[in-house]
Amino acid sequence: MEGTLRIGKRMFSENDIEYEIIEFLGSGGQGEVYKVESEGQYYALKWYFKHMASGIQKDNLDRLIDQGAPDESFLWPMDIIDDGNTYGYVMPLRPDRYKSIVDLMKRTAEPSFYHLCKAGFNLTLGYQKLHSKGHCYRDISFGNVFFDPENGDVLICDNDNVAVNGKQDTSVYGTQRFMAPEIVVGEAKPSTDTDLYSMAVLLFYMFMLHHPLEGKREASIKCMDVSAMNLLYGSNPVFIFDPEDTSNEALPGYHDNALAYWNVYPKFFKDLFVEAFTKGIKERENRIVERQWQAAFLRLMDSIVICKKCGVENFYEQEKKDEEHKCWCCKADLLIPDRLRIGKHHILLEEHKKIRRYYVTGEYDLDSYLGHVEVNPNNPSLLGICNDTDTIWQYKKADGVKSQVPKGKKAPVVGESEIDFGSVKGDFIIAGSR
Amino acid sequence: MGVDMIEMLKRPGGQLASRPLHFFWLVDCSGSMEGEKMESVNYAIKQTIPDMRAAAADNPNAQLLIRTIAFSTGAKWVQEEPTPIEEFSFKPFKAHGLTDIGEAFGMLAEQLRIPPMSDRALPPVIVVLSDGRPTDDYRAAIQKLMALPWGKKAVKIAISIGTDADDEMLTEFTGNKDLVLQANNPQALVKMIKWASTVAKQVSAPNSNPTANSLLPLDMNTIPTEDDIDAADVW
Repeated sequence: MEGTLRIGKRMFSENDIEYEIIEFLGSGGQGEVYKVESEGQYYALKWYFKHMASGIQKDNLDRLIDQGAPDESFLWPMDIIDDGNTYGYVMPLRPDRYKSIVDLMKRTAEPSFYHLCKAGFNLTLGYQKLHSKGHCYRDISFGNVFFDPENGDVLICDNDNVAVNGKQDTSVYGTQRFMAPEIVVGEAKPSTDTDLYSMAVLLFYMFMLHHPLEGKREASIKCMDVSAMNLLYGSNPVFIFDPEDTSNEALPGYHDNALAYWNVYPKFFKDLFVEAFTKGIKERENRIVERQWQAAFLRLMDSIVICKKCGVENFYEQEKKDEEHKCWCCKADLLIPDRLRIGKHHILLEEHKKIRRYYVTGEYDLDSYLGHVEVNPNNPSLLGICNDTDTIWQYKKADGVKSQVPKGKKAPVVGESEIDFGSVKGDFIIAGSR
Repeated sequence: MGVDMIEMLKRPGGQLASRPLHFFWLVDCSGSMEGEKMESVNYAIKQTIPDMRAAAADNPNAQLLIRTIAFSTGAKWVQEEPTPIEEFSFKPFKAHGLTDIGEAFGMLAEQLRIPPMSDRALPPVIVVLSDGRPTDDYRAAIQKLMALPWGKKAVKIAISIGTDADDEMLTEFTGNKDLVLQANNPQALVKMIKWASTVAKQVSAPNSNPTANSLLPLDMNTIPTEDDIDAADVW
C-alpha cells in the first residue's frame, strides 16, 4: 500500500517545524495517515484528500490546536501542514500497546474484566473532559478509540471531528449503528446529547460484544441494507433487553454474546443500559452521563470475584444470596468473601484489597484509596481494614464498645460492628450470613 | 478458534456476530480487452486486495467474500468459491473471444438464489467491467437477476472501459447512470477499480448523511472525477 505523499519528503508546518514523511500507515474516508519525524521524535500526520480538505475543517483544526487537548488520552491536533493543494494535521503517534475496539470485537485483544472496566472508566472520563469544555465529538464509533488490554489506558483519536456543541456544521453525522436515532431519522445534528447515546452504544459493544438494538427484529431482516439500518437504529429502535417491550428481544443462536454477558453482570450495571436504551432513546436530554458510568465502573471493579476452581473473573450480585453465585465458566459455586457495606455499595473484602475513597467522599478517582485489607496475623480467618488516611475512624463493636482507628491501625471485619469514616458509616456482611 | 485462544479467553462468548458480504468482479475478457486494458485490469484488481483486507480488518460487522467471473465466448468462474478476502489470491484474467455478458449475469443469478446464498447477509456488491457491446442476450439475463431478491438488493456498479463500451446496457444493469463509471484511460481505470473496491466498506458500515435522503449506501462525492485523472491519455 502506498499513499500520495512520497516517503522521505520533507515539509514545513505552519509553526515552521520541518517534518519528514517516514511511513504510510493507512487511509480512510477522509484522507491518509503517515508516520512523520521531526527532531528525532515521531508523530502521526493525517493528510486530507483534496475533496475533503475544506476551509471550515481547517478553521476548526486551528481552533482545536489553540485550545489544546482535554487531557493526555486524546491524540489531539498539534500543528498543520499545508502544501497549497491540500493540508493535514500533526498529532501524537499511537504506541503499539494500544489495541482497537475492533480487536476487542474480533477477540484479538482480550482484556480481563477488571481492565475492561478501567478502560470504560478512562474512556468516559475522556469524553467528560471534552464535553465539559463545550465540545462534542460527533462520531464516537469503533474506529476512533484505542485501549491497552493490559491496564485499561485509553486513547481517543480522530479529534478533527470535534466541534463546539450546538454549532450547525453539517459535515459530520457519525457512523451508522452508533448514531443517535434522532440523527438517523434526520431530526437532529450531532451534539453532546447524541455523543452520550453513541458512547452508551460503544460501551454496550465493549461489555456485551453486541449491538443493543440487534435482537429479534435484526434476525428477521434478510438484507441489512440502508433501509433496514434506518429502521433498526433510527425510526423504530427497541432495546433487546427492554423489560417492558420484548418485541426485539435477543434470540439464542443469533445474539448469543448479548445473552451470555447479560447473565454475567450485576443488576446495577445492566440497569444503566436499560435506562440508556429505553428512556435514553426517547428523552434525549436525560441520557446517562459520564459520571453515572464512572460510578458503575468503580463499583463493578469492586464486585469482581475470582472463581477458586477455574480462575476466571465473576461479578458479585448483591441482589443474590451468596450460595446462588455460580461461575459463568466452570459453573462451580463461587466463594463470596466478607463485604464492607457503605450505603448501597457492597465492597468485597479480600487480602490486599484497597478501599476506594469514592465510597466515602464521592471522588470519582481510579487510584485514590483510604484503606486496605489485611489478614490478622494471629487469626488468619479474620480480616481487618487498615486506615491509610489521617482521619481517625471510630469503630463500634457489636456489644456497643467503641474504639479509635488511627492511621496504620486496623478495624476488624466482624459481624454487627461498624466503622464511622467521618462523613459516612459502614458495616460488614460476613460471608454466608445472608 | 484454536486451543490457545480458548485457553486465553478471560470473558465469555465469541467474536462479534457478523454478516457475509458477497463481492463479485465480473470482467470482460473479450478479444478487444487484450493487451494494455487486460493488464491494467489485472494490475488494478490485484492492487485492491491489500486495501480491501485492511478495510475488512477494521470492520467487525462484515465478513467479506470475493468471487470472480470472466466473460468472453461464454463465461466461467475464475474464483468460484466465496473466498474470504484474507485468503483471496488473485488469478489474472486472459482476453480472447466475444462479449457474452448475458451468460455471466446468468451464472451470477444462479449464485444469488437462496440457497446457495444465505438468507441473512449484507447487500451483495457486483462490479462489472466491460469495453464492448454484448454478443448474447444480456437483457433476459439481467431480468433473471433482477427477479431475485438478492439481485434486486445488490449494489451494482459498472466500469465502462474506453469509448466503445455499451453504456446503455451497463445502465440497465446498474439501474443508475451515475454508477456507470467512465474509464477512458489506464489511470482512470485503476482509480475506478480502486473506488469500486471501497464499496464493500461503504455498504457494510455506511457513513450516513441523512439529509442526502438516499437509500444508496454510497458516497458519490468520492467517485474520482476528471480532476483526479490525467485525461490526456485516451485509449
